[in-house]
Amino acid sequence: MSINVNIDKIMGNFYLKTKFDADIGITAIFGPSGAGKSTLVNLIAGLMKPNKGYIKIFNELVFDSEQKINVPVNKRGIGFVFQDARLFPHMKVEANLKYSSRFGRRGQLGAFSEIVEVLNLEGILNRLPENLSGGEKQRVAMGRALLSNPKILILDEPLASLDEGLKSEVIPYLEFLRDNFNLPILYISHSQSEVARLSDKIVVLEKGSILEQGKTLEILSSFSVAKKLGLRDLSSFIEATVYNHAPDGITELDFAGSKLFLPMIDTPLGRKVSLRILAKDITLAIDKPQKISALNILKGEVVEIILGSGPGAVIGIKVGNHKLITRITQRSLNAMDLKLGKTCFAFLKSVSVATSDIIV
Amino acid sequence: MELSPQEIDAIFLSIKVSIWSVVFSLLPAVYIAYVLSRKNFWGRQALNVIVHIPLILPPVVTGYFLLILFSRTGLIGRFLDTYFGITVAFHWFGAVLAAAIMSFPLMVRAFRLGFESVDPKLEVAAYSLGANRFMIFLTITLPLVIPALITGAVLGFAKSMGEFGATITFVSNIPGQTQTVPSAIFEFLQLPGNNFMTIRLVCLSLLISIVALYISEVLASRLSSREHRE
Repeated sequence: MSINVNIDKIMGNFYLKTKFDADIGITAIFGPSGAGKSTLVNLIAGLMKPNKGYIKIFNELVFDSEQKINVPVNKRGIGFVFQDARLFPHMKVEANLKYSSRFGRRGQLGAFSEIVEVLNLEGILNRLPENLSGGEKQRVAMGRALLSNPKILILDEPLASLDEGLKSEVIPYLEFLRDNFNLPILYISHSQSEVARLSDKIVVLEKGSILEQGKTLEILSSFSVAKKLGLRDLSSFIEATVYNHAPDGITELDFAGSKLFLPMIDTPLGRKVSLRILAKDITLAIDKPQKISALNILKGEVVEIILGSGPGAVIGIKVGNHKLITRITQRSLNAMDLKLGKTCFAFLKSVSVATSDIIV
Repeated sequence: MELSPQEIDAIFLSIKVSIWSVVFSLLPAVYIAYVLSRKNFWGRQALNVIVHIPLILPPVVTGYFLLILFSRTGLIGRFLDTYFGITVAFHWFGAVLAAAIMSFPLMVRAFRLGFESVDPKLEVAAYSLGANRFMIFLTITLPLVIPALITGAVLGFAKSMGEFGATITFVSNIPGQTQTVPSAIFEFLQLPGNNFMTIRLVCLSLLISIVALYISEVLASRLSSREHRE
């Protein structure tokens, strides 16, 4: 593992206690606001000092309370991309990108020209930050962090201040970063769709403690996490490929061998998109329904039944090799006589998938 | 319309005193403004109050304190006289001291506003990119605060040009030696038949202030545009 974190921090009434590892690729630090995500990141970066514990980056201790090691921020080799970009307003883009080279931080991840090329910054090198769009600012911030020759990268809600259009402009760059640089990346976010789209691993924080960690899609659609974060948000995260834009404004997608029909998604054919489908939006039926307004009817098999303490139940339906989750009442469960292994049909209204839940 | 030697002396002395006053206050004022805006330490409020005292005290009282401390028999004055042979009371350099003390709070206030307008998050970003504290100050904080430094320096210059109460109490009003423009105006007002000279000096000090302000504006805009070109 390239990052090992095991730290405690007490701040007034707030007690942060975390132990996790991260490796090359994106590890999401996920949780509602106030869960301690920013505190955790500040501790790892060295902007705050833990009360107890250790932080190792590629087997090198950058903090250890017992051995009294505390490497200062500028020596930790952590590349930071902040939500608000934090470009230096008195320097042009080029000077911003080259800032770290003043301190001998020559990039080993790529030469200046390479980073400029992959992030598509040629055209804006001579501009001042005040003349950049939000998406451009984030790309410059990414370039600046990459050029500081970091051992790890911390992205602190890099998309949170961008609107939907700009988000989908920046996401391909984040994916490129993930796939082409051998870097461990900690991605801080409170957006389930973003995290589902970008990360392989997730650490779920709640009130300063780690609630759960593991594979992102499994954790996000797990009942125990949803119970803590709010059952209303319990969702399935799936990937589907766009194969047709029909003239009536419906985009047709291929999902695990079945067809999905959604309101127009503005993206080229063949593109993979991530979808978040809320469990409460999926209805179940035993027989294939006829003459029904819901466009999406997916055949699957019941693989999970979790009874809650209230009147509800969570049902996992396997469609192809994906799992869809739905919430129904226990009364319906009994009336339909659903059992593990039973075949059923899940249907979903096209319009119930919000644009913000589709990440292109 | 020829200026009398006394008037010329007063004008040059005022300019000299004001320039030195700003030169001496500049670094300490920058440092104290930075500390007050960025650091949290024990005694911060006390330091803040001490810096502002000359602003609320009657200038005559400030001048009186200076006299007590710096006259040849005063606490500091005796020390300076014995070991360095320097006397500041009734000397033009005393006028510099008085002007510097009186303009110090104004400069600190202007600089502090400047430091407070620089987002500390930018400094954190620089820190994460490898800069140490000193380089952060030099490459991020200072360039962003330069317009405020110029404003503060001009404010200090103007205040020094106009300082009267503490100066006249501390170094008196000796033509050619410690007589600044305001002291000269005061003297002319005391004697009958000097209306013309009074008005002339008033107009001149007005002119000097306007020119100083204009230069500072030009300087500030040039500096910020050069910063942008880099």
